[in-house]
Amino acid sequence: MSKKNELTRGTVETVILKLLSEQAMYGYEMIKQVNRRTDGYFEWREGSLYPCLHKLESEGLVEAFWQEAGGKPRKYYALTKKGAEAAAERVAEARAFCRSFSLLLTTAEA
Amino acid sequence: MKEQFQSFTQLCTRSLADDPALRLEVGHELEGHLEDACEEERSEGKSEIEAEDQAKKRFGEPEELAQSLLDANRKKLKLRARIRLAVKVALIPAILIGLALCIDLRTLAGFAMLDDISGFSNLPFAKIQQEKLFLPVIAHDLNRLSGKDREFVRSYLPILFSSEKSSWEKTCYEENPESPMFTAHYALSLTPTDMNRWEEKERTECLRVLGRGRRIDPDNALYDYLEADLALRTALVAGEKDGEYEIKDRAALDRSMKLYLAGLRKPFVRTYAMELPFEVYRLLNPNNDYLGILERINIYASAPLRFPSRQRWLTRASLFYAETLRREGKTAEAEPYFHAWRQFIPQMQKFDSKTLIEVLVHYNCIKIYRDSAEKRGDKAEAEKLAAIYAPMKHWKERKDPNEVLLRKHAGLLAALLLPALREEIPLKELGPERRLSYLVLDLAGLAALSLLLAVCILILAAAVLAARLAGHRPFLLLLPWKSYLRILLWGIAVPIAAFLLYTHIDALGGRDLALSENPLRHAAGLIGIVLVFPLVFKLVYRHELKKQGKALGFPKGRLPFATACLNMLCGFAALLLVTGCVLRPLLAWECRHNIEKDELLDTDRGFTRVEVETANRFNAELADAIAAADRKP
Repeated sequence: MSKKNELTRGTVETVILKLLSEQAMYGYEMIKQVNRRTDGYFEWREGSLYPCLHKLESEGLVEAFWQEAGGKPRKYYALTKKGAEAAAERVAEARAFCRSFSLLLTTAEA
Repeated sequence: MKEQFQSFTQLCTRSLADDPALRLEVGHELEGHLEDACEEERSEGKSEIEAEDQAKKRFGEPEELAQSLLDANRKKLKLRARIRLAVKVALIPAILIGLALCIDLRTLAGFAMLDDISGFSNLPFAKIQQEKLFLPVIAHDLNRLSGKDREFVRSYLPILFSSEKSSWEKTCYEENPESPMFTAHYALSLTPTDMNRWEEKERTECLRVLGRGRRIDPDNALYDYLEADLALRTALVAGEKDGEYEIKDRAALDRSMKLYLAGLRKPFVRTYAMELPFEVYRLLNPNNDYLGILERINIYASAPLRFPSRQRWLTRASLFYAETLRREGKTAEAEPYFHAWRQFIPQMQKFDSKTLIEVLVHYNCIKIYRDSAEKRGDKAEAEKLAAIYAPMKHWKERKDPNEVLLRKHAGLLAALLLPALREEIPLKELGPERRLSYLVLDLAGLAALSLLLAVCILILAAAVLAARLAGHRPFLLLLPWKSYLRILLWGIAVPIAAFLLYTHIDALGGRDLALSENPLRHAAGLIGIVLVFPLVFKLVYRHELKKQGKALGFPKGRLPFATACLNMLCGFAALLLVTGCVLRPLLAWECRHNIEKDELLDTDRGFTRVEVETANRFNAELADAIAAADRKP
């Protein structure tokens, strides 16, 4: 496993929650969004997205519904009320982590 | 391409094999993703095969994914397995409970009996013997009794339905030899209707019982009259016209008339005719519902009124005897018989004047006395008797003031019981019983609906079984909870609400009119409950199943036949249960409400309030008129 994959592994749920906090999406759409917004930095095994989505669904953080899009039925995911709260919390945590990590990397001890 | 992805996604989802519906849904989701990825690769210039391979490569290892999907869905799998197990376990009880709620056998028997009595329709069950129809109606109350009470009511039942001789009177008499009531009934049952069929030993038994009756109930003239009646039957042969007889045995005639005179000196005649049905009704203590009313009417209607015919016969025979004496020049001896009405009618009125039939017979006797007085030229007596008879004459000549009202607005029982009473009845008093008639039909409609659903369930079960035997594996779909809400709303709640609106807004259901005046609109209501209910439910449920079928990847959402049958079977079972749970208590509540409002049939004796009032009024008028006639010189 590459170092990059190790770094991104623990962020999958947060990324999904963040994306869904913006709008309801189906799995392939999420992959495309992540690739586009990270310039392809996040190299997920695409299939691994689904167990994660199903886990979030069984935890009640997201809910799924089928809807036609582009002439095909697609399974969309959207945040539940509980999911929206969790998304806000996890995004804030991630931001704090990134800020601290960045500080750690950019400053030297006096 | 699709087939290749299908085999790939089947590998990915094989860990979910225990839940075919979930496996299909997840597989369909993964296929959609792979198709999108493949299309993207193709748009970048790759060949079909390269694009497919690349899409699968991007997706990851199927074995790894299968394990991850199992881990992620473990909780869901457990829950769904439990729900499916619960559905399997609850299916048959739900169907049985639904049927038990929807089919009220007692109501149906009552409805059939009502139909039989009123001739409302020519349904085939109207041809069933009334006894068979009535038994399920009272079985419920009979089963509550125990010991002697139960035996007493059970043995009384044959009296309700047939004029055939039963051993009931004898049994009751032998068990209660000191009871005036059972002695009177046994004595009445022994006196013959057909002299030719009589044997001497029966006559001996009859005389023995009459003697015993006289001893234990010495003030009751019944036994003297019955013995007089016995003697009369050997003394006289009926002529061609009423009141004309031929003397066969003069000595028997003299003996009979002496007994009659002895009876006239006693304070009362009591046959205990109505006491019996009162007692049976008291013991059965029926529910305060429409069937309770039917039960009461049937029990009271069956009261063995064995004396009124003898009362007329004794009146005519005694007047014939008086005429004979007069012709023989024994005018003084004849007088007590000519004026016997002064004792005879008040004697009867003391106890045996509870029903309109009994009162009508008293008046009929007065008319016989009046005719006799006119015939022999006793003008003063004829005038007195004509004055006594006048209210009845006026009543009989009166046209029924409610003819149109009853035809247009009466319920089945009111239409049956009220027309002969010729009393003014306010329109609003007809409402509750009319609504009750409709409600009984609604309950019959509910039973028909449940039978239709049961037949559908059986057919679907047979189809599922056949499919299983053919190797198919139908599975139960668990729909999203919003789908269930939509089914509940559009498939059950809205039709029930529509039915209730239809049946409760007169402008729609026409329930301000009698059933016979409202056949089309009422038929529409019944067809609504029986056919439209399951049809609407089926459409709504099938729509939701199709939506789920699409989610599972079936073309146009069409589920495999066996799976569609299995799911429809469960749906109909649920409909049966929910409909029974909702409609039966609602209809039962409405029945109770209308019975509480019903002032026409709400009476603890007789058949209707109007009949009780009419009988009471005539009784009072008759007693007053006889007393007033007695005061006149």
